[in-house]
Amino acid sequence: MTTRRDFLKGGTLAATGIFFCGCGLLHNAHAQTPVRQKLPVSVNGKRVKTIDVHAHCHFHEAGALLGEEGHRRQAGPINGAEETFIDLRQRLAAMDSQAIDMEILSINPFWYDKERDLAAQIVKIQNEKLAEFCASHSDRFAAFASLTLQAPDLAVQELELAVRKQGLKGAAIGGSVNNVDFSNPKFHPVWAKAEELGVPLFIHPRGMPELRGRLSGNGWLDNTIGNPLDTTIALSHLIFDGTLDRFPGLKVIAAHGGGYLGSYADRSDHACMVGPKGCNPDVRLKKKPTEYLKQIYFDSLVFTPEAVRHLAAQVGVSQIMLGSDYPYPWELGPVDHIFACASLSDDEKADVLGRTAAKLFNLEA
Amino acid sequence: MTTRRDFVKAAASGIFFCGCGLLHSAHAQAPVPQKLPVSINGKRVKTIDVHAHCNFHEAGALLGEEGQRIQAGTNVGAQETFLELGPRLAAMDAQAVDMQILSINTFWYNRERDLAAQIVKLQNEKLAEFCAAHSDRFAAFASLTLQAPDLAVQELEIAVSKQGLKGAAIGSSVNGVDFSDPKFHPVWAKAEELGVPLFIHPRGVPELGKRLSGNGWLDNAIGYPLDTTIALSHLIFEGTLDRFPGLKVIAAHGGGYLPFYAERSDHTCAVQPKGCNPDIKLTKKPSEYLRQIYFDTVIFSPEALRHLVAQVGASQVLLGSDYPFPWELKPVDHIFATTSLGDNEKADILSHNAAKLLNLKT
Repeated sequence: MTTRRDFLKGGTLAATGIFFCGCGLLHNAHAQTPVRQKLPVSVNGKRVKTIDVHAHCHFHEAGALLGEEGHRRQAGPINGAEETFIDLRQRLAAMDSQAIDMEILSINPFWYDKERDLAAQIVKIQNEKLAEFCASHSDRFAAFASLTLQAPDLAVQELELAVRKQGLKGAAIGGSVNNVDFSNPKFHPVWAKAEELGVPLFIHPRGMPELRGRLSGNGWLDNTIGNPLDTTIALSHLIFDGTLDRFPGLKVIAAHGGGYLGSYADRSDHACMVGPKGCNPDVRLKKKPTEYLKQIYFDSLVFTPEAVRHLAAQVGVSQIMLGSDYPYPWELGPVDHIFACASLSDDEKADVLGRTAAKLFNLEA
Repeated sequence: MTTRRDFVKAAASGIFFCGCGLLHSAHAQAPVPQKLPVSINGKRVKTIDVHAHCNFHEAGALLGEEGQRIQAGTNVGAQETFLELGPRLAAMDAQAVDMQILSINTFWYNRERDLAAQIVKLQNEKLAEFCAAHSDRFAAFASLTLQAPDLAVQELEIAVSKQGLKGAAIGSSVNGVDFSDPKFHPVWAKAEELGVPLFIHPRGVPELGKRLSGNGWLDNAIGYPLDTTIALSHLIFEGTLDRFPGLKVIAAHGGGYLPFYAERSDHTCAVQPKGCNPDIKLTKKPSEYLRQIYFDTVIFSPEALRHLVAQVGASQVLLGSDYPFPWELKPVDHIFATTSLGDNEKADILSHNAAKLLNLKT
């Protein structure tokens, strides 16, 4: 079995360049030889506090409320899953080895299909535990709250409490709620509250169970394709159904570089001209669909300097923030990855590594 | 109602070239409308559009009343899929396209074997006849009854060795079964033996009907690039491209999402070994297979084309328009507007790559 230790070794592989290949083609944004960064990180002599906006955690006590299925729902058989249950020393060691000053923790929703009171209990425990943990280690951790989005009235209260009393920095909301997309008007009160509080919502996919047939076979396509797809659909609805026009101050962060949408954006601008019957004449967007991407935030979990270069060209470098997906071993050299992006200036690297997040989360830079 | 005339006007005035102002973007030049004959740096280039649709009324008629509805649908441009030489040539002239490689989107895969075979036979004969009569402006991909692979092998053989067709247009899956299924192996073996390419063109992902409802025609805007992404991912991950190393695959719309978001595929089995099959040992990294697949240029912006070329190499990219559907009415101008490309790369994308792949004179 592959252990985490092997993957941490994989981090060494990153240092030797294995995670930075595929950059030899003409016109590619060439990867610099990756230099393993250490804390404290400096860019051009200036200290930068590195903030990882995509880091997972779980609490056993929350899963226990679901009995035996709880732990399975929380962790699953994926490499790194057990490390979502935070062990402070181990987590700090991992962050140190990745040159991460601070993680913004989030808990992937596993309670949206549970009945209101039970889900509320799970969310309450999680937000209390997140608040307590982050308060005791505020130099290294902040967190997104959990919400019972299946009960939007409750979610509004939870978000208010989380931000005003518990010191949490926004909310992690998944990719849809039991197959209902975030553009559904029933969620409007929650988005209005987030807008009022000025805190971001972190969209993290949960896969596409409807596609299980086509995504079976080799390559873990359920995740490889299902996850970026889920995010793409979530963002497309927020754009096309006019939700982002209705809540112009809403701050949305999309995981894994926003899935496919940021990197394959322009088809959205042409679809309604080719298939007007697929579009709703009552929805009048204020700008072109792709222009909304320039107000959404994206993490940097796209693996190569060329992919970062393209995402920055599409959405603006001001919208990209460091993300690792820790403890899942997708990208064990997330800070090194940014330093390897030759297309970014020093200022832009500092923004991506921490300054943009510090501003968005109202943290000391 | 929006007419085709409006779209031609909109394209001519530059509306399809906006959104290129960001830092580090491959800036669009003010689009200079190209005219035939197209030259690059003083050298004549025969422009070849590998993604152009057609249909024949006679084939739809075999399905009775539903035939034409299934063939054309309700999209803008659909009626122009029924080939009429005069208007088609005028459109190609207006786009500075010398030659279209015609294909017929698959609509017969769910029909019973004999009926499907009749449709395919009629289409391939008509395509052969039309292209032979206008061989300076048209070539075509054959249709195949892929639901009956034994028949498809014969159809492909006839199409290429007798009818002068240049390969086959195969859709993206066959009634929900992906192309990596071993039952299709004899067809891929035949294509490899004949040295002709297969054109993968999506048909959407009906399983997602509910999540893709609402504004924005997401059934197409997301469903199409997704469908192609799934098709290519299976060909890569199931080892089909290793089994048929000489197989030439062209993927529509720049290959959908896959080349634009390729590297997640390289990491996935390290994160979740249980999602991967230890019996399949790929000969290279998943993303490296993209450098042997061909992709069209229906991706709209110079920045997208720059990125595609960076990911797969200029040798893999072919001019495409999706004509007569008005996605990209200035496909040749789009290539000229992409300043990240050198003159040789532009000529390769406009012409030389396709000429070589399809064995056409330039």
